[in-house]
Amino acid sequence: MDLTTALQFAVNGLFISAAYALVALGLTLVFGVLHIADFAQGALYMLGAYVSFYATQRLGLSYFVSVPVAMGLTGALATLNGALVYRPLQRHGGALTFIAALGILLILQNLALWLFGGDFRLIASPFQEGKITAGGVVLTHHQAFVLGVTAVLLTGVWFGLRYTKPGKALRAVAQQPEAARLVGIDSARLGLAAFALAGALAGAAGALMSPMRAFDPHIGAIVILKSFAIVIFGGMGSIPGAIVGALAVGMAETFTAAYLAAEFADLASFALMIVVLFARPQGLLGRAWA
Amino acid sequence: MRTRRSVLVSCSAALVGVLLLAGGGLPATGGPAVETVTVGFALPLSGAAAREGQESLEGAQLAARLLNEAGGFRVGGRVVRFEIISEDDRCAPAPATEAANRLVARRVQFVGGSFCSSAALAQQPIFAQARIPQVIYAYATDLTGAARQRAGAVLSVRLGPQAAVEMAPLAKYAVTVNNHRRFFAMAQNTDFGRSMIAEFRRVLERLGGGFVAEPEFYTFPGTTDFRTILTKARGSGADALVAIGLVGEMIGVSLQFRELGLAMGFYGSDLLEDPAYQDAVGARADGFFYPWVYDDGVDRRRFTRVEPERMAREMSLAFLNILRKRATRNHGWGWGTIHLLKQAMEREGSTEPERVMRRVLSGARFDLPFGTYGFLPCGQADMRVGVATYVEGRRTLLVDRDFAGRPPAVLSATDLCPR
Repeated sequence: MDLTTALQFAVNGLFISAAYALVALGLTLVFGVLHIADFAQGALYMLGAYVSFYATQRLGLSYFVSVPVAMGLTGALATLNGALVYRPLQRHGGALTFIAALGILLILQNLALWLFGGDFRLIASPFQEGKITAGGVVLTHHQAFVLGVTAVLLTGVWFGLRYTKPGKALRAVAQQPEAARLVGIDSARLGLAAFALAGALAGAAGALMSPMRAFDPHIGAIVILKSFAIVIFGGMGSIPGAIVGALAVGMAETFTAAYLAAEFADLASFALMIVVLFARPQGLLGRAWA
Repeated sequence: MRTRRSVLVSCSAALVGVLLLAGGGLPATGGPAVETVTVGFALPLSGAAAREGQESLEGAQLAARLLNEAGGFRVGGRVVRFEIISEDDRCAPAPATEAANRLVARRVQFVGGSFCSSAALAQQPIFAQARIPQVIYAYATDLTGAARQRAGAVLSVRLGPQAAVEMAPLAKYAVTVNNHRRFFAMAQNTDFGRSMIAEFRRVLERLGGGFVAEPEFYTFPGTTDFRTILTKARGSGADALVAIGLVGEMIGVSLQFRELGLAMGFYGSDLLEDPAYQDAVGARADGFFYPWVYDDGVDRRRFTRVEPERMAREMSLAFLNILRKRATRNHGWGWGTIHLLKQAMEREGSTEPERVMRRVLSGARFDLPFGTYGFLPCGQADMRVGVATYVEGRRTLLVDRDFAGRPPAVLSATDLCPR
């Protein structure tokens, strides 16, 4: 294979990784702060796509407006899930929240099927057919937009967690919940903020991908499984781990399909995860369990 | 102590009960007895193929509703009505097995489905053991071949095309009309995907063409990004791509094919004629080729229609008038099942499942949404499909159903029932 083809594979891999990273970041955030495996974020990804679809097709809003609208609505829904379902159940143990998360995913999925029907939808990209071609390597304008927005969101979350007061408080709750409480940090409120942020990220991912991938009410279940595996691989609760994990899995999948065969793509990425987890059970960048 | 009146009431109720059990229904005010035939549908009602499954079910429900509202139809001396029940097989073997067992437990007399090959293969032995005739819609060759024989599923038939019926005319069109001989192949890694690719390859090689590399089989469900496979196709030196997947996948493949600027021919299955595909891809599918199965007479064509396709028109009008939407191929599966059973029952003068299916398999022809045809001894519909494309975003039928059989013939009835 020539260099152009190899570069095209790298671009493809980077793009797949971006989609994984957005969802994995939200998942790991909720897990890091609240120790909840929030599978319901798969449904929020799907709802993000539908909100963007209806905002553009029915309400005539610009696609660029529809993305923050989708983020706002999915963030609000995630907060509601957190307040009404997860928080009351959490005191009874992790198994209950796990079941609840799966339940919410299925309920929202079926609700969407009932409301929107089973038809595949596709949002018209504002960039239409525009693409950048450099030496035979193709990147569509929409892909470039998605990569840019993903980079901004990931940097924003990283910056927010590292340098802002609420971000530092979130990290404190994730690392030392008892100590955080002792210094007066309201962990319940911060937990809801984590839900809101994670929901908004999942909604953003759905809205960003929907002009390039046809979606139906079941799309979220597919997305969430791989993203959750990435979170375990990267280290549960680790934000850099989610990003590195998404990149490793996206690239492993792409280059296995490219140089071996597409049918081995998942096999290779999961084999890589297992090998890493043997060596580092806490995940690539996760903290060792006490 | 019971009064004489209460004894009389009890006796009357018991008599009515006995009559109901013996006759299967109450005589309608001195008219013929009414019999209800229960047809169970094992279909993907959720998951990756939910839309296809729901449309199939909708077709069956509308067909049954119209027949029932017209007072049913006469079989022997009785009036027959249909009852439709359904179970979700989620297009996968494990839930398909559960769905089949539930339908057996619900004592259905006939089964329609599945739409998905892997699901139908899992269900076939269960229905065979329960002696429940199965009208299958999936395309995997084995369903009317080795798997049917292994399961002893002598009462199962396939309502529409199998992989060879779809792929033979398409491969022939590629080679003899478009002069596309060197192909790159990709498909979902399922019985459906593998069967379709194998049949396409068989005809392609028979006509002097071939694959430039081994086919790429991607994970199903779960694959949404096809750019890497398409990048391989771009650098493969092939004249054309053949891609097989469900509607959602084909939308992704088609859009990404255009995105990457691939300058080669594009061939797919008849799922490219799905309205959801047309809506999403539009004119970007111009020049893509695929087999056409369903023809309600309204699309542009480049040949004179030979067969009247009466049932396709009837179904199309019913959908427009009652449900205010255009019928699709998927609706045809359910609608066709009900009408196949109705016609076979009327001709046989019985609703007894084994007799009805013997009539279906007798070689007699039936009016169905995909033409007028009979069934071969292996259970395969002895039907053919044509080839279509898109021109300015509109479906255009290029050749008729007889194309594969014309010289050089690439498909005959013996190809459909391999020994």
